[in-house]
Amino acid sequence: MTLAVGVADHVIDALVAIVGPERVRTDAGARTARSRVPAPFPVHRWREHVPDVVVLPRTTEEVSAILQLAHRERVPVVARAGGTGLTDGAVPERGGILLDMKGFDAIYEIDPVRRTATVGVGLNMLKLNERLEPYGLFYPDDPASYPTSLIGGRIGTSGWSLIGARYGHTRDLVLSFVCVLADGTVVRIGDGGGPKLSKSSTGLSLKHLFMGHQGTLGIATEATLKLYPKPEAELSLFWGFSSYEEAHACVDALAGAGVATFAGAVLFDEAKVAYLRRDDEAYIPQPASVRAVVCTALYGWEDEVREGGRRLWRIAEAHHGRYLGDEISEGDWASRHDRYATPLHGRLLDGSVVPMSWHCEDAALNHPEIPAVTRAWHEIVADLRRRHDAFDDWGTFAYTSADTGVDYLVEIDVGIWEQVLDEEVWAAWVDAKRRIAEVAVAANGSISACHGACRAGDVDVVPTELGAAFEVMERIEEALDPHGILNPGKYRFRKADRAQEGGTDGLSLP
Amino acid sequence: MDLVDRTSGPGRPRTSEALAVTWRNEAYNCYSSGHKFCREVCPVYQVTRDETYLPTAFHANVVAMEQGLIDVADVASDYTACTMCGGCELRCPNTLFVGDFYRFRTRTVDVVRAVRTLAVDQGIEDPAWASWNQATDRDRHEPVVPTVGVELAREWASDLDLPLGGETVLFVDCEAAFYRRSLPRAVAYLFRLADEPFGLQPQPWCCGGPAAEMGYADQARRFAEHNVADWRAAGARRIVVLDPHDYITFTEDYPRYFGDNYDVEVELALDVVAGWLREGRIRPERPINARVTYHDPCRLNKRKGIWQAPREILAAIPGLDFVDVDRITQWSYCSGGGGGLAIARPELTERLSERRIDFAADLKVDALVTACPWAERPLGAAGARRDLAVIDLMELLAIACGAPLEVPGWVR
Amino acid sequence: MGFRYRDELELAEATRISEVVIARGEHAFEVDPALMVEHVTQQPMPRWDTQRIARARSDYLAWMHRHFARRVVAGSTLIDHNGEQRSITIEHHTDTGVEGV
Repeated sequence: MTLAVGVADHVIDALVAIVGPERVRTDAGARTARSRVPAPFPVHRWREHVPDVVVLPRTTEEVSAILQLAHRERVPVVARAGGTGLTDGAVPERGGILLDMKGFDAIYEIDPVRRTATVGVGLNMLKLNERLEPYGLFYPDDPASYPTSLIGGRIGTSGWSLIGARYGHTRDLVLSFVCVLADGTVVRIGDGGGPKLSKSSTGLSLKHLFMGHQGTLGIATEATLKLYPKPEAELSLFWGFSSYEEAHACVDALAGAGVATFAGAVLFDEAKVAYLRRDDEAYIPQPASVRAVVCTALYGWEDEVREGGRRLWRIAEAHHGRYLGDEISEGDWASRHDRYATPLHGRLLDGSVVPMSWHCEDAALNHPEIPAVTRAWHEIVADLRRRHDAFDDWGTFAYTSADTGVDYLVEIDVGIWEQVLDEEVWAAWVDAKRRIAEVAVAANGSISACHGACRAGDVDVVPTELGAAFEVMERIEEALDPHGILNPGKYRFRKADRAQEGGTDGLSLP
Repeated sequence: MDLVDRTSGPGRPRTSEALAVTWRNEAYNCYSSGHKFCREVCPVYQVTRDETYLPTAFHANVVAMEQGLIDVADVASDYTACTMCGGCELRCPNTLFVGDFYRFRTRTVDVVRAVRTLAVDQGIEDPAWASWNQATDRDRHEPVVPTVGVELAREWASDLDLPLGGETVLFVDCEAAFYRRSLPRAVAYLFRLADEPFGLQPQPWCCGGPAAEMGYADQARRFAEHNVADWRAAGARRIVVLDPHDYITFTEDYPRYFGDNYDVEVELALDVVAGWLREGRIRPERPINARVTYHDPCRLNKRKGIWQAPREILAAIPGLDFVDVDRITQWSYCSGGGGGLAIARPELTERLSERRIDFAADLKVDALVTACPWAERPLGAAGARRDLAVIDLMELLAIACGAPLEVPGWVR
Repeated sequence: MGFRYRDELELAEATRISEVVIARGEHAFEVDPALMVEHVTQQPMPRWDTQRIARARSDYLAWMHRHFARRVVAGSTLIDHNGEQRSITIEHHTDTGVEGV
């Protein structure tokens, strides 16, 4: 059985001439493995997202040559770092070349004087921090995907960090990066020109433009990162609340307290606690009076962490939070990447276990809007479950994004039973996804705090959210990629893309 | 269907479609999952950075077979790029956080084995694996050196006057019996020192484990049947192994082949020895003045959770300056010696061992101690290039207990 | 110390914890097996395997703490509830202006 290759032979030959035969793959296994990301995927339509050819570059020069070729030949190029994003950013819409960036995994330089590291975009943050440990430094970009996601994807998605309220997010932590544009030109994108600067006012600020571009404006190869001293102390505190309202008020009080070591706080709503009570050993034994949970984490020197912790403790107690104990507080925080979205936590209406994919909503909202939005979301998912017994509501989280508590990443976790996906169930999901996004936008929020909004459902609401700014983005994108080869179809930036309405243009696949 | 039936029993799936049905839930449990935390633990991925050889791809292929996008012929050769170290399946949150809660965990090793077995069943064979297993079938032992055979399998003990059979039988794997003979000699020395009676198997064949790993299920089963019959004939009630691969074969594969008929106790030599040290039955008194670090063999640390006993043993050896690397960090370490990788893709094994030696060299040690003969050959080769000795834990302990042992690459 | 296959597969008796959870031993929670019959069936899991998983989990959590900071401050060591409680509450009203508390 072979999957046809929709890219012309002479292009394949040219790719081989650039990187050698071993790093150009047209075999089925290499291509099918690089079609999806962890976001729920229309398995029944897998073929539509298989790239035509996979290329594994290792140098910026190779990427430049490949893009020059693709630009000349009008072949789509989709960059894939980890392929662990949650918005289908790395999922090919039009076949073409899948540029797998994992080979850029070197650490080029650690500069302890300026406290920076310069690394390839194929490097994982956990692995980087293992290497920084002997220097007493660390790179605090800590998403839920920390043990697996790669630097390149963090730029592509403008990543969000669980400890971002203290240390900032990817856009603050990446100082500059080398980027190959659609025509193969190599530029350094930063704040100004110096590679190791955090703040400059020279010229237009391109770094922010590229943060979250989902591979539509260029392909990053190497990044220079801002490093912090590895913290002396970590403190995490979990409190149980008998009312969601008190928990909701508490999380804002924690965020607004002005504690410098505060790294983040999280609100677990009633549905989340109920979900955890089903299958999480920390929550199973909790008394019924625990209906909502708030946790917080602090990092810094032990003395300041203790002082800050005491201040936050008093705030939580004033909101009638009951400390859940050291074991949960420490264990749950250390499990933050691993614990909360597990396929077998999927339950059908009759309670039976099925493996479900994890939809992780990530709207950006202000604090007062959180309860009404999450209630509306729960109703959307409940309605979905009534129509198709292939979904589960895993509750919501609300995480502080900033040190003042001005905004939150608000997440409803929806389980999706991929084993039974067909057109009808998928369409119902996409419709629900659209409605979820609309609720967030109507509440003066944003569809996505950090994943991106390229997915089916979300992408329909993007022009509504962005208003006139959307057209500005279109013009910029078209200026930087006139032939439309970089991740074409993403965000439907062009009228031609919107006219397609999700179908393929007949490229490649049988 | 029980796991061994799914991977290698007579009722195993014989087509890609059937395999996809049989492994559907395991496949989707990975494919639908968001984590992908196996990646930075997978040793093969650490040196290739190629998603095609990741546990995620190995599982995704099964779903792709279900969806009719591929069949086993399209991807069989990709599955040779795995050492079956088990790091991925342990690190996977579906195992690590909820595997015990659901009694359902990630089983990449079984999935890889199942696909390899299907490939062999369909006549799709890696040429190096085909000739390796043919030679094993012919000679009853793996071709670890030019000349092997049942009659030669006890040559390592020819001057030791050891009985055949008895209640406790020491089973020696092919690599140790024919290549790294200092290892079984070290273990024999320690047993003698502790005054613990044991015998050798009268007609030992290869355990069959590697054949099973490479997909040669029926051959593996035949070898198992022979060995168990030979143990029975020899009156063996307790089998002691000095190779982690055998430990797995005898505690996981053999029981599933034979069910209630499998009635022997299986012990790892280093566990037995660690017990003697605690009881004071043996006392290492010759100091070994060397700075060493320890490589957790994959099949002990990751596959079985055995990491404490080796460190206890090292702590008992006088004179050692022991620099530890914790067993969690070592989830991503591997010699590359297992799972047939060294046979199908020796260049990958070489790179994996080089990587492991580089980590050890960074610690400025004289030697890397480990507890797996299959790891010792590639690690030793890489170590020689960095002027770093590689020695087995039992060899080191035996020397510390006065054994007049010659160990390749070890300067006394 | 040795391994015996039959012993390893014996399941400890289950006690019911909730509608959907049982326990086999203290804090050894498991999903109610009745929920894993129709769509997903449980795998035979010998005792050494469940122990390996549980121990690896706590080892891993300790590793993750060390990975992010040199030490962990235990929440329980922050506040001495015997002496400070009343003065803390009053102080809080002033500091954060929380109303109606």
